[in-house]
Amino acid sequence: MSILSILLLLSACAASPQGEEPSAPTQQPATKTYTLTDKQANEEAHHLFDVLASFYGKQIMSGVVAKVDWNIVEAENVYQWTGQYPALNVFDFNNMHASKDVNPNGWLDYSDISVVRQWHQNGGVVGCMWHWNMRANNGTDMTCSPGDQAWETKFDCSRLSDTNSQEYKQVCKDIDQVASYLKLMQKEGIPVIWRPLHEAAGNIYEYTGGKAWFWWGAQGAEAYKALWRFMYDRLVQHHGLHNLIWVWTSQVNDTAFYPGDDYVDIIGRDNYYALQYPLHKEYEQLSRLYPTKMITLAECGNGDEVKMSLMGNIWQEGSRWLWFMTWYDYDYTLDAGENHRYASRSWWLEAFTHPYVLTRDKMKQLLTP
Amino acid sequence: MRHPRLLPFLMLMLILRLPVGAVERTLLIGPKTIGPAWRDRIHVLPEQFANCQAGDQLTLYTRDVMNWAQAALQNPANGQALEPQYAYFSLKGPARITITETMLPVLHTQGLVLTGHDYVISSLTHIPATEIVEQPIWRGPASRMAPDWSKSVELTPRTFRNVRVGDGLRFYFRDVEPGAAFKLSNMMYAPLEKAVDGVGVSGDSFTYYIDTQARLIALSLAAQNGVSVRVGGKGYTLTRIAIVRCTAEQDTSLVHAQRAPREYKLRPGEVFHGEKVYPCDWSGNLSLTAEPFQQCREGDELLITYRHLSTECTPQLSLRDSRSWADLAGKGDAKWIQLDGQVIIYPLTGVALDAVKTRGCILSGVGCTVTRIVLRKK
Repeated sequence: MSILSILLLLSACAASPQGEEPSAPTQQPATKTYTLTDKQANEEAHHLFDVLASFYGKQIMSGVVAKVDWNIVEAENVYQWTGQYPALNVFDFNNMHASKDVNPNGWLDYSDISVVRQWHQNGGVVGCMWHWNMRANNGTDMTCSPGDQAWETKFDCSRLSDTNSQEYKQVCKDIDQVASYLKLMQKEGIPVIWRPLHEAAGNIYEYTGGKAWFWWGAQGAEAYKALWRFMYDRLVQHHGLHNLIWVWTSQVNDTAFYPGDDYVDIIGRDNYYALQYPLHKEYEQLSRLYPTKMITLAECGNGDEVKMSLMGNIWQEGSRWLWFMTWYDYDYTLDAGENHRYASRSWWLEAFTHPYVLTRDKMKQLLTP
Repeated sequence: MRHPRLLPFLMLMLILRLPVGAVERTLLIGPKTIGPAWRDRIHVLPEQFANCQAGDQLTLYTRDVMNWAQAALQNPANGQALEPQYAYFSLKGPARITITETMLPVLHTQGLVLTGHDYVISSLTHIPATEIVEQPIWRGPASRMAPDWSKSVELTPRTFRNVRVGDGLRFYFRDVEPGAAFKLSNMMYAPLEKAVDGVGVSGDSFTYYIDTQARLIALSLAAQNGVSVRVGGKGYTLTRIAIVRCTAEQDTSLVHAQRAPREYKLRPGEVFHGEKVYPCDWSGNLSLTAEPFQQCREGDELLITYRHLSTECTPQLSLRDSRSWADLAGKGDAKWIQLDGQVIIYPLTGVALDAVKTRGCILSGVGCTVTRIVLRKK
């Protein structure tokens, strides 16, 4: 940990946020230290992580995901609504197969990190996730949905242990491609909140007959953990990527899928039944299950049945998620006004009325020495 | 008078404003809100379809349609989709449904149920097939769309010179593969809009309706100075294109139309208002989400108002956990509340309170009609 980060941590702990609103008691310990799993994590990763730790339990970082893949469209929507940018923008490597650096017929270029660079330079926090698409059974489409149908994939990650298998070779090839993009970010001093292989357990622990909805969880907990650790080692050790903060996304009851304290920096939870009371219960449960890790609301938004509670109510109930990230509405345009599928204009306006919600500008202040 | 019976008839038509020619007849008048999570539905009665024939068109007019809205047409008897393509479909403007031979007997005997999520029904209309005419505008040569999307057919502006707002452009296919997709692009290969940007297709045709002036303008702008609109996609062979036009006039009488029940807006504290029937066959269940209960505290109460107690079974209700179906208070098997008055007062305490705030609940029962549920603060 650098001297700069230590000083920042101490100053953040000493000051209390302006106008903090009263809330229900929370279970946050008075003092707690969080450390990165990568013993060789670089200065940028340490600095970002330390800043996150400094306000954990007292403030919450706002965030959005890219519209599909490689842009800040949702962040721009928030800006148009509120006059402020969210602090975090998460990009998705889901369309790697269509990246022009590997596919001359591709429609985007992950090797051009201009959009990421500019976001970082403007004080934003960079996140990356990965809907890891494999070739579908029909031989044409790309998908991450497991199954026997033509549009699904039978990719079996349990065969990773066989280094002669096609699966092993495909995994290496894809991880190496992602590594090339993350390296570009490392080279420019951009730390990345890295959230791969999310929601692995699917509904396995929710009801009898529940299943994984991504191929990386379809072979069960042991295969999944092996894949996670393989990815971790390949990115960190083999490729020398030390700018990553690793986020594992829990389905709450899926402790069997947890890769381990040595491979995970932050615990995430995706929730689209995002009401204040059940959110608080989940936050408390995850805090108990993973006491040495910060807990974050990695994805959220209105669900099919319920509208997400206002941030003020979520905070009042007692949840202290490290950040929240709302999902994108593919069809949304600004002339649709309030009607955003996952988090509306009025939801964001309410969120930003609270001083404990960190905008990009506020985050930039925290990150700037 | 040469036709003594004709004049009174015509006068009667004028008075009643009944149409004497083919019309687009309104079967259902809204508004009817189809809210989130597939909770809402409306049964259009079979008598509305008495004059319908196979090949006729039903048109569903909507408003306040969310981007993610979907509609469905179901058989009222069993909840099954009238045809597979009506199990769920997106709403981008009026939805036009062609009555098939399979659908017809169901419509005549059962009617249909309109359901889905996140839109408002304005009306449902019927147009006889004889009033829908096609005018071919392109007859080939047939063109196969390659799997890599690289193939397209170029159409000159002249092709669309007779298109009007309200017309459909029907693209006929053959040899359609699984995963086939259709795309309509401008001269720069940019799709005209999302509705025609790689939309999945099956069957033998796809119809793109020019429902708005904006679409007509976009179509004309897409092809300029002799440069083309492009029909592309993958996995099908384009054989011909036609303009589809309805020649029927709008029926303004509305005398025979079914009217949707008046919409009711929940008052503060109300969780449900309406007529939830609990038949004696145990098929009645009302699901409540956790959303109304988020601010609940220990000792708050649910007031459940009911009426129409059956004499053919023992009227009773129970509150269940949404996930486990166990008794909401967590005491194992369901606790049945016998109905002998008008209101049940159910205290929300302990396990029950936690359950409704976490997952909502299910009100199950037999032999009554629930009309109102209110959350009363302690």
